[in-house]
Amino acid sequence: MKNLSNIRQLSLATALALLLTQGLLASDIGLAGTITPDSLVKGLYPGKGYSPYANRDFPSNVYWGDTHLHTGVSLDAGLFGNILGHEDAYRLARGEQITASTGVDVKLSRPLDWLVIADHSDMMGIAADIQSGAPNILADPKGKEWHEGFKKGGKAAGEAAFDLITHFAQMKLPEKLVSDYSPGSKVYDDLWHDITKTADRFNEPGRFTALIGYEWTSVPKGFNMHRNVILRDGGERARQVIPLTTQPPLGTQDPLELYKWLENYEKKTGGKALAISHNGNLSNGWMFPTEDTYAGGKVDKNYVEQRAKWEPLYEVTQIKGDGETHPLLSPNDEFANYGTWAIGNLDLTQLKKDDMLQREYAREALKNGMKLEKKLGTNPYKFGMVGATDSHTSLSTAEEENFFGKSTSVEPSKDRVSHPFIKSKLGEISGDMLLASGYQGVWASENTREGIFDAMKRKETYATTGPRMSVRFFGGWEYTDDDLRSRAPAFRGYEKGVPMGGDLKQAPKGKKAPTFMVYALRDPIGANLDRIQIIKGWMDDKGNTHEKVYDVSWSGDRKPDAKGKLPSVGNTVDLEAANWLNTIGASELATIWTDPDFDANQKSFYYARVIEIPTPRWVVYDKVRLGAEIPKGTQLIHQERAYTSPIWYAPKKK
Amino acid sequence: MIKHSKFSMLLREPLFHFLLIGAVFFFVFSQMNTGEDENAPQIIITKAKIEALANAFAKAKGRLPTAQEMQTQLEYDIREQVLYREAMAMGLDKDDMIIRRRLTQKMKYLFNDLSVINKASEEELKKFVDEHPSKFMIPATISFAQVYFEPSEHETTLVEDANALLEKLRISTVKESIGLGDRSLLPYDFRNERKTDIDSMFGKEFTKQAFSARTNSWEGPFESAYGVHLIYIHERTEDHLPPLADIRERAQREWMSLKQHEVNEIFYQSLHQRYEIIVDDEVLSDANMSVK
Repeated sequence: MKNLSNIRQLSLATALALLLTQGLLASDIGLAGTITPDSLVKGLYPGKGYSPYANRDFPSNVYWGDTHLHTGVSLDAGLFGNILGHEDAYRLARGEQITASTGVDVKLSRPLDWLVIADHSDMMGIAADIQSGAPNILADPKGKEWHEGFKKGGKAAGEAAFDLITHFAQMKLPEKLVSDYSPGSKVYDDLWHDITKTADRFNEPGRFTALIGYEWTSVPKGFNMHRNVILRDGGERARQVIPLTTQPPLGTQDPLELYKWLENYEKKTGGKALAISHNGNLSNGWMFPTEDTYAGGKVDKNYVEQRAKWEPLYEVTQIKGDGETHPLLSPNDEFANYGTWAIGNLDLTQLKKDDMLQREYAREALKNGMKLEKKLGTNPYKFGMVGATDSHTSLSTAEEENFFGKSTSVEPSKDRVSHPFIKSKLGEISGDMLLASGYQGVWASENTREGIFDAMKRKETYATTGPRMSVRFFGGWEYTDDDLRSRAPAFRGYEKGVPMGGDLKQAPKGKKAPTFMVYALRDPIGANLDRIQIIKGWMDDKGNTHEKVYDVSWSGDRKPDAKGKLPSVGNTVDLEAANWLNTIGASELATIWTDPDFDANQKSFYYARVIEIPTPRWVVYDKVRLGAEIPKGTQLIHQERAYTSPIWYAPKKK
Repeated sequence: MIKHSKFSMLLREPLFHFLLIGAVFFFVFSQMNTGEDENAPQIIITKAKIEALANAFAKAKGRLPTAQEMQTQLEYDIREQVLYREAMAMGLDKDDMIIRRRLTQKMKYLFNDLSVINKASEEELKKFVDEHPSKFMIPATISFAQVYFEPSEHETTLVEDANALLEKLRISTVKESIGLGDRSLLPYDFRNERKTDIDSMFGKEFTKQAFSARTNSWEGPFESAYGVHLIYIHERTEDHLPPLADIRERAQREWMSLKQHEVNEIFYQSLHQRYEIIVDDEVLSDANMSVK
């Protein structure tokens, strides 16, 4: 258990000594005989040449994005006054300044690298009926006349518009035009067409990736069972299908039907797709079923196989709460109580019961997955971690000091903090509970649709509640402190083990316990780091599951007490100024950790959680900038965090 | 080229139509249990409607509907028609915010669709790019090696220590950072990184200095979000506007997008002009009050 400063081997002094002993700094520098960097490098990269970039075949960049953004195309978003479309959403995400629906200028502190716009598939057919009939219009003399007028622009265009509207009003449109624009015509599904074309237009390989997707918003009786569908492919493939809806007669609320849709998509188009579910915290016990499914089925062999196949990731944190774990499920985890929203279902027509929690939260699902695997042969909940916004404003904002809220109605304003998110006879989820969360970091070899999607598929991703800390997590059997000291630990990480999202390889002879290399750099414009933790879940010989949180690396010279509890990092938040100081915490943390309680016969998983030092929540910025009155009892300070995808261990099959 | 898929071929099969229409008639007649009324409002099931429903089903499910499923589809469609028309007759659409917003959206789509924007001519395009350089600017890039100094390792001598190494490096032939300075998880070598990326990694101040420092020489110490750095810049490119040939397609798209917005505004203004906006006296007197 060391933090990085303890293991720094080559301090300045040693570096200088190295140079001196090699005659590098003598006054005759520049003459023949000076050493080449090759000799300096010798021994640092066993088996590699000098150039760290040659033959590198692992992901060296983390790409930031959001898998879950709604625009005005989503019925509910439009109803709340969102007038921005896909183009606006892409522009903001790629770093441009735009004007929010409420008329306020908005820009991200830094661009995102990729974006999935996931509008609700239900009601997407709207406006479709009047889309994209241009060639047909031209076939009609009247249509052609208007078209010419519009083309001329200026006054002529105005006249054409006037004429068109008049014709509309008097029901005197040419028959051809009417039939082209009627529901059920060939152009019926053209909003999807439009969406996919816009994505193609904004997709710039290597620079900004626009992944095509949609949200399948299954919410039977208010139990949140939503899934976002993400396609690996461009519009040409996407347009061969239409998104699955939930409303009858075509739609369905049953995830098994969604899996069929995904299967069909791949078969029909030769493309690839996956689904990500979210907000188990609002599903009232139905997100991660262990016996019965809400759709009336059983958690049987088919269910677990299909779910494992199509849902490699889970959206663990977003505006509507954080779903890592709950204090009742993890009583020994002092950081468990973070934005859990354990009140009821999505529309608060049914309140929460404690029994439901175990089928709602990610950590418990990871544990239950091992049980189900034992019973049915496949682990349905072997997922990686995603942070996303689920913002309905077309604005993918997840930073506390630049938070545009859940919907247009709660974009920055003096009193938004007092608007309840939902209120029913049974209770209330108050407005201050919204989280300015989150983003997803993806370790990919390139910023393209294929690169990002493939990384998601292999779960080499992590979730954050908004800040962009870099986090690496590797599991193997032979990591040593030297690996961390090497100038590029990631090389060793991949050479000697597997990255986040992977399965531990079988232990080499003589190795008794797995080792993990974990390191994190703080967000360069964010807060320092308090600590890195590794969370282990395992199943004992009787089939019961357990969990333990290990502090593995922390800032400063804090010492755990007799019970093993690490003292708190402190607090520098200034509530009057909405500010904090990086005088506590560390900008980097890193360690090699060996599981001290390992039992080779037990299934287990490990994931890293990186905790920032305390910072002000978005409500404090509202108070300082807008003079908002913060309701009593509102949480003002929090510790933001990152969750990596787990690494799993399975005993060798006998 | 995408060939017609099997199901769309099937959709064109007369036999298939015959079967479908047969199923539909069966359904429709089975529903006709009331006495005939000459004046009853009509819901007409057209061949086009059947095809559209079958088509939608096929696209969503990847197969053709069975007769039973087709019947369910139609049943829903008719139910929707009936309720929709009754609701309209009752005026339930009036002042409904959802309907208002949805129709507003439809108008926007209609405008977009009908106003086919022509591509810009070569001259228009040139002018457009010249007037909007920031849209097409290739951001500056930089390749450099960095040596890191961790503040906690140097207490009060951070800058001094960095400067000491700087002097030595300047009289050396060393151009790489391998083995120098303090350990860090930051990369030590950067190749062709965009200014924006350096910005997100090191912070604004560092970026500013790195992009104005001398190249091919050790420079620093520069402060970043993490500590202090010496850098050796191998290569740097400035912000520059690429030749039109390289960005023609993107420029066309941006141009058309801008034109679309302009045309939409013209449409709206032409409609808006048809309205007289009357401000209620009461509002005016309220306004006067508040001015006082």
